[in-house]
Amino acid sequence: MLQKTFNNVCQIVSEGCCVELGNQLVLDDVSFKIKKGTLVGVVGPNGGGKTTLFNTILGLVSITHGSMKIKGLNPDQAKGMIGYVPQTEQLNWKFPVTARQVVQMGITSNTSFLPFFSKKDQQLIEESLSKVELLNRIDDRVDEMSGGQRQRVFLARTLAQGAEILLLDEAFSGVDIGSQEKLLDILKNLKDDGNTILMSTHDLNTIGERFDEVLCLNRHCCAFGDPLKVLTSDVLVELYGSHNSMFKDHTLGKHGHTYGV
Amino acid sequence: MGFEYLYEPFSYGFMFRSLMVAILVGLMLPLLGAYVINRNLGFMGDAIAHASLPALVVGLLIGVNIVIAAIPAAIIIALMIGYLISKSKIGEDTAIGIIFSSLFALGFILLSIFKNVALGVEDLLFGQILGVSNLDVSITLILSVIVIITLLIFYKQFLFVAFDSTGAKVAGLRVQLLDNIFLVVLSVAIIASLQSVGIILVLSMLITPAAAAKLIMKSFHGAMIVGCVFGIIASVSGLYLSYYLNFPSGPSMALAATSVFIISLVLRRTPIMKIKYFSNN
Repeated sequence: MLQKTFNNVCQIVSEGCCVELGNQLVLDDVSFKIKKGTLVGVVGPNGGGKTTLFNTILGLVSITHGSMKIKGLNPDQAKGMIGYVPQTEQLNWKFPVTARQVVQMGITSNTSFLPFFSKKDQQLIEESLSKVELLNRIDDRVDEMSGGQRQRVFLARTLAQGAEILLLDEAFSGVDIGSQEKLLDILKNLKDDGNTILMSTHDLNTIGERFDEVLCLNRHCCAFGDPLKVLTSDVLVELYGSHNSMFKDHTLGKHGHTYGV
Repeated sequence: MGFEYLYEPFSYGFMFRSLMVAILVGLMLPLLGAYVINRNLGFMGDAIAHASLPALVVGLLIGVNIVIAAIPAAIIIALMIGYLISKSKIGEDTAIGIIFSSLFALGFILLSIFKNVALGVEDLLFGQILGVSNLDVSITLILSVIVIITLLIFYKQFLFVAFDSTGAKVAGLRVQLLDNIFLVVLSVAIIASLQSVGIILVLSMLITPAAAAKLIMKSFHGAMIVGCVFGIIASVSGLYLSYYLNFPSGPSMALAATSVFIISLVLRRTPIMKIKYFSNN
């Protein structure tokens, strides 16, 4: 009984999760528990397994050892419960889609036939876009929007889908600082509404201030917890190797303010 | 007052039949073309047409309607290519190239062995719309209805898969199945159009009107609709050229489609593009 309640609170539970791609062990014994309503930053070097971890949660790759539970379900049973904001490079930008069409995809299932949407669906699409403050651009093409606006359109898609767990893959790449702040504000609102959000990022500066927890991934889970406590220099060495001197001022809440203090 | 040039030909039964087929082909191919040009499937379309040659020849030999003979073959070829693309390590262009050149070659060998086949090679390669029979019209009509209805039914799914296939997989869509359905529909449409445009130039009607529409339209569905209008203009103009100047119908339609494309290029530079539904980039 206690276990069951715990699983309800914990949206994602990974226990000793191992994933092999080809013959390579990409995720090695990764364990963590993510509570409902938290904003988690996933950091680590390229090739450290961030995208593989996301693909595992999404049920796109299979687990070799251990387990991954989403609200107590296996990833392939949980398909559709997770909202996914893909890396923009994964998308086919030749396709001229509007914001409305992208959000419509969130409510497209195997059985949504014919090109028409009901009034109720249209209302849901408009509500979702207004939550990311893009209702005024509903019929504009997404390929003509800025990087930050694109990310927000895809966030609206996950909202229309009704997902409570959101995964954002490298959402800051190609997004200027002002738009990053805007995106983080929106993520905070969504988190306060009870959504659980995971975002992979290379930007260690924002982690301490804006994220509740950080998951440090370099094939295995180097650290997990409050970013102000776990991002120690040992962890940074483990993540990025001995080149970490450039991060030394960014540990334990210093954020580079060493000089002139 | 001069307009008799436009309607006079249709007093002949064969021209009326050709007009029906031209309209259906002009409607069906650009509809698929809207996806094809955005998904880099043009070479695939070309390959399906070429690879169907042996099936067409066998159809002629055993005396079945060639469209009926070629459709199962084209579906098998399309699915086979689709499978190879997902599995192969040699790259999709290469996989497609090997299959289509081999089958096209086999088709020609068959043609040279059975010299008494009752159809000119030129008609197979370049199309001969003026020769369509009542049966051909009925078959083309049925096939285009199937193609158009399938595209309507799966409009949302095809859009999702084409734009964001990982996202579609994550949302629980059956991406592989949807891709296969699309390939089957594509092969059906291509085979149904072979008599009018021929093996070599079916690609033109598949991609040129759709590309012309994409140049000037802002939205995907807008481009789809305008692409069909362009397609019908091109195929019917091609039919007139065929009738009055005795050109083979495939090249006539292809050049008409190219003219439409050039007109689109010119239109892009005019103030008309400031109107809401037109592209502004």
